[in-house]
Amino acid sequence: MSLNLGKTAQQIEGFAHSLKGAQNDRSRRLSEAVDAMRRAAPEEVRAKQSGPAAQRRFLYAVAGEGLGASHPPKSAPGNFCVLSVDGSHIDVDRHMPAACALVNIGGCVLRYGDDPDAYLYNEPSLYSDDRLYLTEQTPEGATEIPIEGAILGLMRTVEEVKALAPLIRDKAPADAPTLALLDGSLILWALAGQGYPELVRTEIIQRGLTPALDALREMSRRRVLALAAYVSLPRSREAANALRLHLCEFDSAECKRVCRPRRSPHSPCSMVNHLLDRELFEELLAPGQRSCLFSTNSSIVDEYGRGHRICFYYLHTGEEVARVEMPEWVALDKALLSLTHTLILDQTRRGMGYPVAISEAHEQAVIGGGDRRTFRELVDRSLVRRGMSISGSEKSRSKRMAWV
Amino acid sequence: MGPAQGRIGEVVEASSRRCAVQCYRLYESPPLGALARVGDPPVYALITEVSTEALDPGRPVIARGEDAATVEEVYRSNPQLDKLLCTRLRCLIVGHLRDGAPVAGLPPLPPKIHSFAHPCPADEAEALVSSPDFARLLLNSDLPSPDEVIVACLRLAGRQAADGQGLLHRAGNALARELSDQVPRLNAILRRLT
Amino acid sequence: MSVDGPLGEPLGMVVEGSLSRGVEVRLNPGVSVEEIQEGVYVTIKGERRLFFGMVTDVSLGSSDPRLAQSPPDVSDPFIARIVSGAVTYGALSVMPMLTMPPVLGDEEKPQPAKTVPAHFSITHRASQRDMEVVFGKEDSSRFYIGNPLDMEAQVCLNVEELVKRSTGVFGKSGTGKTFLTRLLLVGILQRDVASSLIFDMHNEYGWAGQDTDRNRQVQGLKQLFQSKVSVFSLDPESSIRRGSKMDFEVQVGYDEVEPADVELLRQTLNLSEVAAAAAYDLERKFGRKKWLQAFLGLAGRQEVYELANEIGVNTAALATLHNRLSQLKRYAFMKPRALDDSVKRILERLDQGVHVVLEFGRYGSNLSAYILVANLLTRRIHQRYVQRTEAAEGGSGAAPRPLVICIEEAHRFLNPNIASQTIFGDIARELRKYNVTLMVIDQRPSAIDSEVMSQIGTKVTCSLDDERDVDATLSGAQGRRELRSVLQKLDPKQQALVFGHAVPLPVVVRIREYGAGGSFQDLTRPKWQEGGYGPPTDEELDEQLKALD
Repeated sequence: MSLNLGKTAQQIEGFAHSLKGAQNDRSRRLSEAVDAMRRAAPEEVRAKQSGPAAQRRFLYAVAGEGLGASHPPKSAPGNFCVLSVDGSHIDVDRHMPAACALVNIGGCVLRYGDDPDAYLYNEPSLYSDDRLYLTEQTPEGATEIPIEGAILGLMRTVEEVKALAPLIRDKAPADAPTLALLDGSLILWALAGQGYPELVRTEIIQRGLTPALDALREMSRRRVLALAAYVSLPRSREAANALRLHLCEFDSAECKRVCRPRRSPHSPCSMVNHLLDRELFEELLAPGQRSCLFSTNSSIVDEYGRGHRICFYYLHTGEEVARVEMPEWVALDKALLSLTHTLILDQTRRGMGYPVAISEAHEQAVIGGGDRRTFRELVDRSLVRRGMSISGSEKSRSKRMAWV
Repeated sequence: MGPAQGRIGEVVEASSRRCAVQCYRLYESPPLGALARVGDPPVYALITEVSTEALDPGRPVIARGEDAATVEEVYRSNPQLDKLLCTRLRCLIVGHLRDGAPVAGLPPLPPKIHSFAHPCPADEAEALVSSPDFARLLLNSDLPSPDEVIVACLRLAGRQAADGQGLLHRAGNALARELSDQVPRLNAILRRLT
Repeated sequence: MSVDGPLGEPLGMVVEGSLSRGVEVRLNPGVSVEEIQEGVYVTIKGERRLFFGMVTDVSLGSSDPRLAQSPPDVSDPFIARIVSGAVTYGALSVMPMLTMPPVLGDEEKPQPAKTVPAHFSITHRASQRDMEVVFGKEDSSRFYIGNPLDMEAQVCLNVEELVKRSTGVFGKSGTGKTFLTRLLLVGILQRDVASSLIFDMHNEYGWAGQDTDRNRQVQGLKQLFQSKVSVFSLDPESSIRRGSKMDFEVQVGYDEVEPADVELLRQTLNLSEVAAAAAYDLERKFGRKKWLQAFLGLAGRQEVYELANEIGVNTAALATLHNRLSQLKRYAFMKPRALDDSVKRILERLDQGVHVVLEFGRYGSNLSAYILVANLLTRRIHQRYVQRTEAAEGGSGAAPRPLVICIEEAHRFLNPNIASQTIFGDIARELRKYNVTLMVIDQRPSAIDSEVMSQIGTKVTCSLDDERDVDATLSGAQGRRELRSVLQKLDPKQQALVFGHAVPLPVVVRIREYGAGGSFQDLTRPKWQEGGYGPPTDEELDEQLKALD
């Protein structure tokens, strides 16, 4: 049946009206919050963030300096290299005659300076049969978890990070400062609070991400190599929550009792309600500047291993405020930290507001609609050629046709 | 390391009448009117259009040089362009090898996709270009401006041939027979050959 | 002209045509129309046979009708070269005249073309060999008369064929008719296929003639062939004065003149029909052989009037006749009775195979004398030929040797008014029944009776101006239209169109040099003939030197 547009429109009107009121309140609070950020002295912030009083029900960024600090970019080196890897996948489709998934990893290496060059590639890999499952044999018995949906997405992210080291080794000149860029967050948020079995966390982190990061850190010791992840339009509130913690006049127990994770009913904490980090830094940062360095206190990264705690800063690219994440071993090296800042800014300038390397890696990795259909047909055809039935489920058909 | 033996590129589209060749390197294409020897058994393809465009038809090319002083600078600061753009040749198939000799006319089969395209040796080009069938094929093709292509082709072949004047005469005669009822058109072509 | 034989330069290919109009040949690019003249011979290699034809027209064509409005940049030599041949082309109209079987046997001769070559047959310029096959090589029956235009090949006349029928030599004044006739006579002499009797009006054939174009003396037949030629003269004084070796002085007796001769003189003597007819009354009155002497013997007007009354003839007419015929008395060669029988002497010579040149001396300028003598002698000689031929047919005696009688100003004898009455008209019409044929030389062929013209076997025509003369000359010829255009474009000097029985097809020739470089040896001792007549003996040389003194 068609949507009752009359009733819907009425409700939208009401919603828009209330939004307008909230908007006005929000603008006021934003400017107050920005002021508060600027006033937050580093010692006070640090003091509030240590000790048992720091235990809160919300995630907040751990700041090494004043919340409102800003840093201008350094000038870029003459010769440098930026590379990126991105991925795309076709998830397991139960309507297909056989269970399989496809992960396509695409990457690019861009060399700037005296000898500019570019290398683009992509590498698909099929997940089927045993590869479609995470398995573990424990004394208690065998465990088997299918790789699909969110887990496949996580596996893909791990594959992306894994792909960096060989790419750097083979295609990036060893004598040029190199920045390896990833699209999205280094923090595997999908693992948080999902109650995945231990096996999943082990496979994804201990056997996946951590070794990949180890390899990069190992390379970084022998050459100028920084790793960073670029989050465009970040919706995170960790810096805002850092301000909330800074402003909080209650003790930890009271806060835990009264405050909700997203919103606080109390003033002055409520000043931060609904504000995003990037909204704050749009006010605080001039184009080109980055914020102070934060580190996340997410429990997920606790499992990453030594030196791989994820740090981040916000960067005003001129077009937007993006979040740049990196492992601790990059963040703590002033030169590498500065390199990420400089080169990401350079990349966004070359890329009309978005890092070129990430765009190109994405273009290499992306599986378009046509390719998805072609993949399906390829699977069907291969099966038919071997005399197998390909009658898809009735559901698949009904989804594509509007029965009357 | 360049493509082997002066290879131009590869066939990416092919039919009996025409084919498209993608050049291995951006902007490294033979000129309009040049002949390519494509595949094995060889088919002769006349380059009727040289184009450079985004490799991915879904990605429009945008202006990037507002702050750059030169075009070269645009390419230097965007090294990926070399890989995202490609130079393509649209070719008319004009001849093939029959009994070991190049003859003008359509081959029994088009070249395979990914067949290599090489520059056509001067003596083979000469044999083709001065053939009456060559002129007829071109003039009767559905090219938007066959005369331009003919002029480009003959000028080029004339420069490369051992006896350029002789070649132009033979080719000119072949054209004249085809265009004997269109003197102004014939004249316009011939004028540009001298 | 054999299919396997060497062909001449390729010119183009046949693109259309018909037997009546001839075929159209499109010239190959690179062959310029300017290199090909009308009248040139070509061979066309058809599918099954070889054709031999003549170019009758040369034209320019274009495949684009708009060419004239938007001409190409011909100032550019490259464009000019390419456009010519493909867009513009030269074309020839060719009249196929002969066909040959593909394999030429000795017996096979070119046949008149009765079809045309197929489309796209390649046309070549006729080669030397082609010409030889068609026109023959100079030999015992063929005489080299000249060269085709633009070629070195020889055109030969079949002299045997030539003398079997009458021959016409036409051309306006100054085109070299005499020259040509002399050459034809040489041909007849060389081949010895007939005797000839030449009424040499202007004393050009016997002894030295004048080449007026080159302003030099050319040798006459007597000089060249000596004992084979006998010079008779009506005017010994003139002959002696010119150093001509005269063999016999011709006298004509009044008794030899017949009324029919008077009839012939009507025009030149300006006689009315009645006056001319009166001669017959006179003959009745005075008797054969006597009437003229008697008539001319009348003294004074009164006697003539009386005679008129007596024989019942208009007085004025008879008076006029008397007056005009009295002119004859002024002719020194006219005698009441001839000392010797000239006809007999001439016949003797002719029978010996000797050719007789009758020089008219100063009487050459007197048309009446020429007509009278020529007619009178010819009538009597013909009479004898008729008798002898008939006798031979009856089984007694040999047929007389073929005779060619050569007359100038032929229309005087053969115009439509009198042709039916004169002996020349008879000879022309009889063909070779009595072994006598004519060689008529005239500048006004249109004035000759058309029936006579149609009986002329071979015509050798120099340039003619008058349309009527052209038409008269070409009447009855195949491909008249094309020949007409050829004829109209002949050079006024040294070119002639030859057609008829002695040549396999009409041909335009550059007349061969008569005594080229002052040497006449090629006339007396042609290459084909071993020995020939030999150089003059010492005695003959002495005589010649004497004559020149």
